[in-house]
Amino acid sequence: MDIEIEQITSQENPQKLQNNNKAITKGNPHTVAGTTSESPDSGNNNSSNSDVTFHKDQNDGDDGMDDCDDVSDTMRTPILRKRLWKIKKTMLEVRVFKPQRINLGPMEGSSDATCGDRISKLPEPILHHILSFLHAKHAARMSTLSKVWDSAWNSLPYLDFGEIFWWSKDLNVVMDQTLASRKKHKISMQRFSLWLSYYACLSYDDRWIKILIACNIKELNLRVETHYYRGNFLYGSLPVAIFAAKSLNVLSLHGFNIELPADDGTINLSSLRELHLSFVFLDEQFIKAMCTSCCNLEHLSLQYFNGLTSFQVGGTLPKLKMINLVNLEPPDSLLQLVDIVAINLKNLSISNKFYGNINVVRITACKALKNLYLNCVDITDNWLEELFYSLKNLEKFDLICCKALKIMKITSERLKQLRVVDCHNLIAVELDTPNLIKFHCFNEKFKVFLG
Amino acid sequence: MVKLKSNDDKEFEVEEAAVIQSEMIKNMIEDGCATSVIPLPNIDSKTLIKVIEYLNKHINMGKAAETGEEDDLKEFDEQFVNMGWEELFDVIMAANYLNIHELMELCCQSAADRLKNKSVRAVREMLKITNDLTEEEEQEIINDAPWAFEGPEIDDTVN
Repeated sequence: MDIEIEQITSQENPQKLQNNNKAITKGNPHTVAGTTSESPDSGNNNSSNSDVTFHKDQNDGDDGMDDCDDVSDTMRTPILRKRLWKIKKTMLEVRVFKPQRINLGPMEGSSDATCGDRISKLPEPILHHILSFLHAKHAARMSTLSKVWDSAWNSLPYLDFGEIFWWSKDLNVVMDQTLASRKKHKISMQRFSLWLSYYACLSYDDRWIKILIACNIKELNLRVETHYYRGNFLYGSLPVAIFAAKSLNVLSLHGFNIELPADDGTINLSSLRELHLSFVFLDEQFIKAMCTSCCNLEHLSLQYFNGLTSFQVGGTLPKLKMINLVNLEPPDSLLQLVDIVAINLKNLSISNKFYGNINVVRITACKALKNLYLNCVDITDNWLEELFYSLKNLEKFDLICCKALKIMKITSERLKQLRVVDCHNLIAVELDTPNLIKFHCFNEKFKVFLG
Repeated sequence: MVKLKSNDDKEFEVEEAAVIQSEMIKNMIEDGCATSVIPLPNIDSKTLIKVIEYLNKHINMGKAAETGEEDDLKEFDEQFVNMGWEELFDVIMAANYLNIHELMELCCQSAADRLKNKSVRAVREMLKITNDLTEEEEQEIINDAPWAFEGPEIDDTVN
């Protein structure tokens, strides 16, 4: 609705605007404010639900908006004011500062005429922020716009190279050049993303990662396309330099075989807050090293992984708030045991694509747990009872395809939402949950919806 | 309620829950510096109205996710950034000053979307950018990074 009004304003009869213009003392907007107030549009558009309250300036004189002063309690009044002010302001600008723009036609054209290369005058960090949403190729292309843009590109701390295959032969040159210039100018790199196509036969170079680390890289997103060959996944090899990225906050890896450095097997990712691994091959040694080194880790996501038979997190990650595990389907999935001790963990999700092998889940030490999602996990009636005995803070619990479950007994003061789907052997549900708001049970045998 | 004052001396009352999406104002409130009117010398009333409209709509972002109102919010965002460049820059500067992360992301993303795939000529015209590079300098930039200028997907229209 706002737009309609603006259109009315900008398409307003030029004759009328010119007439008003005559009454305006140029360069004195305050006079104008008085004159414009008699707009015939006032008071016709008062049906939105926004809550802007507009206090009219005392010097503003008597204008159309006074109509609403006495009913400020209603929802509609403030909007009316907002709208009117918007109209007034637009007209004011048109008349006083750029009266000639009346002829420029409707919508964006008129306001952009004042633009006069305003984008180049934005502070460089803001220009960088805008460029951060562009593919590196597009951002680089903007460097021929002007000197400001050339400099903005050369110091751009966000590089998103996206998927690379069309200029694969130049990849090394492009990376060396782009990264070298940033190192030379001591740019503090915020984010670097690169996705290598398997078919381009490319691999990551330790050299690039070392330069990025020298530039204090904060976020790294590396991806290689995994390839299924004769019943096995083929993974890309991970540049080991990555494990020395002390300043790294966010690391996302897709399609890699994650191997610890051959020399001492330690990793140094002490600033890491988020670790996202998908389609990776890894082992228990890596998880152990991660638990020792990544003491600031808050969010761990491990999806479609291979090579782990047990996932164990000891009490070494006090800041960990969220864990998301998504297992591969058999026979690729090996995971059987999940054992987590994380005192501040709030959200945990364990999910098998199909009914998998996970038959031991130990999470009763995660006292702060609020949201729990289990999909195709082999849990028993006793396990469930014990869980609620230990975890008093659980508020939201989703159980999907937990086939071993027969009689579900839950006693919980805090539980608010419970969802049970396709637990086909379930025959009885017994709830002592005074604060339950939503209960959704969907099974072959019975359906219950409450709340 | 918190009172905000634009640089053209208009005062606006905004719910605290809405206004604390601005890190800057949140800090002021926490430090007890927001007892009367908060002056915003860098923001005019037209821009401030836009910003407040956004803050009010996003007041219950967390709840929206639970109640399935995300689509509604998405639609609002799409409509919200449907504005001219000049206005967009005003809102970006305001969001930057007030430190409203989500709004900054939304507006910068919108600006980037408008530049995406555009030819240099088109961007220059669209944003009235004066080229202060000599022909030699321009050629040098292209020679240094020829990869950036390859490829067919260049849109030469000014829209």
